[in-house]
Amino acid sequence: MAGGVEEDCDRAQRGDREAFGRIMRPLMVRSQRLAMSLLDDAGEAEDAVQDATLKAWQMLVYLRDPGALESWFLKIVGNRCREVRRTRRWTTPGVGLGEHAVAGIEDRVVAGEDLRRALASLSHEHRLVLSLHFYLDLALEEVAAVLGVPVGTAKSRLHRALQNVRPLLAPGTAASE
Amino acid sequence: MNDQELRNRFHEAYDGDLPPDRLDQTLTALPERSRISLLLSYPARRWHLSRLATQGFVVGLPALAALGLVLAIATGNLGQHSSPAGTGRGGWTGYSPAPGGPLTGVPQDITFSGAVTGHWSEATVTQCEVQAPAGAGAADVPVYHAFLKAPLNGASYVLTIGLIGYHGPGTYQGVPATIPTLPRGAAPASPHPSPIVGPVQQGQTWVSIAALFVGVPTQANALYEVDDPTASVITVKVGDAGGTIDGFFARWQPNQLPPPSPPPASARIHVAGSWSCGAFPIAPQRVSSSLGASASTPRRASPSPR
Repeated sequence: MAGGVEEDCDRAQRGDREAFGRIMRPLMVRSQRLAMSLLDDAGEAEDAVQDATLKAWQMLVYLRDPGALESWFLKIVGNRCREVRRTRRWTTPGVGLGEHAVAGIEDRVVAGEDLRRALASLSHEHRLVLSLHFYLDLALEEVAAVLGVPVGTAKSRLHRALQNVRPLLAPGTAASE
Repeated sequence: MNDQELRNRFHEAYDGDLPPDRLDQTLTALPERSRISLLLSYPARRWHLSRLATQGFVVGLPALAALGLVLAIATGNLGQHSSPAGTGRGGWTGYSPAPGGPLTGVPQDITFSGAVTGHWSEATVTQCEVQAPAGAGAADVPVYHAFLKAPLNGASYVLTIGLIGYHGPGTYQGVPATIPTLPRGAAPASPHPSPIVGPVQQGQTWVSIAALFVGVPTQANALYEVDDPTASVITVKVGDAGGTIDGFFARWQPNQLPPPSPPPASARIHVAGSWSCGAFPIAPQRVSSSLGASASTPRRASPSPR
């Protein structure tokens, strides 16, 4: 029988996979959204979330506060996405992993293309803070928890990110490639 | 643009592309925390969903400080046919729906046993395979890749990955195809069978792999690298664009040999240039004679120290 989050978290920390599944399942949509907005590639996002889930399983014993599970996991996802972006330059071009890139070309005819392009020009940190606040609808306190910074720092980072992205989204402004 | 418009823009941009939830598959493959584990997953998105189910399995090794270990492999959905008996591919059992039948099956556990000793030459092959659909042709297989995830637990291991190619209608060569390690970003020169290998060490994140097939013209590529010095998990993607992969196996070996000298970075297998085996724990027999000595392929490695 499923217990509360705290009880499930405790069970999961002791190796209960079912309990781990119960505490992770509610986090999937948000983590997928975060990964997608950071990577702009469904395949990579899928991988990143799975990697993060495995890492969470490995590291769960270090989670002290079950109430912080979501921010803790989103931080793992964010870190994983940063790693993926960092290693992209090593990927051999045109190796088929670009399947999603091909699909992405079709996607770009739909609304949101300008945001994708704008976000692509931002640093990982700015993209992350924007995604957390505007896509995952996290409050500033929650954003700060994911980022592991004080609320004031999160707020200023968000401000700077907005300063960077808004001009790119202004009507009549073509986002830079 | 106000905040709400920006929120809307995010949803417009990304909601339609959210990847599938792989949690169930991941949960099935969760490793024991004290074990080395291996997860292979076939991204169903790269196949027609009607033709291939997402697949995965886990190989778990009890703490590799100990020798003589038992592998436990939990497997997810498997392919369209099981390995024919007597092909020498070893250790394979699994779900095998009727040809043309549904490809989603009830995941089942498969257990292999194999002693793992301190040297490659003494190691019992612990082989596991997951199969792709029979008869899948190049046009059907734009890319295949798998994931190997190994909590390293601070130890050093050698990873061996092999692929089994599909060589003509109904003919399985049963020959482990090749995965040379490559420099970052390098593409393999040509399809050559060759072994595999490389050290996987905590903090030494190097993995770059290409999948090549015996006798099958294919474009093989180095696909992925892990570059996280703090990672407790190594992820390797093995890819092939335009070939067919019928089997995949992998095994881990504790690195019982002396530390690499020269340092690992210089001991990588380079596509162009000589391959300085150094102290890599690559036993000579692992380096097949099919490794051509052309300018663009690695040379045979010198015997590893014993």
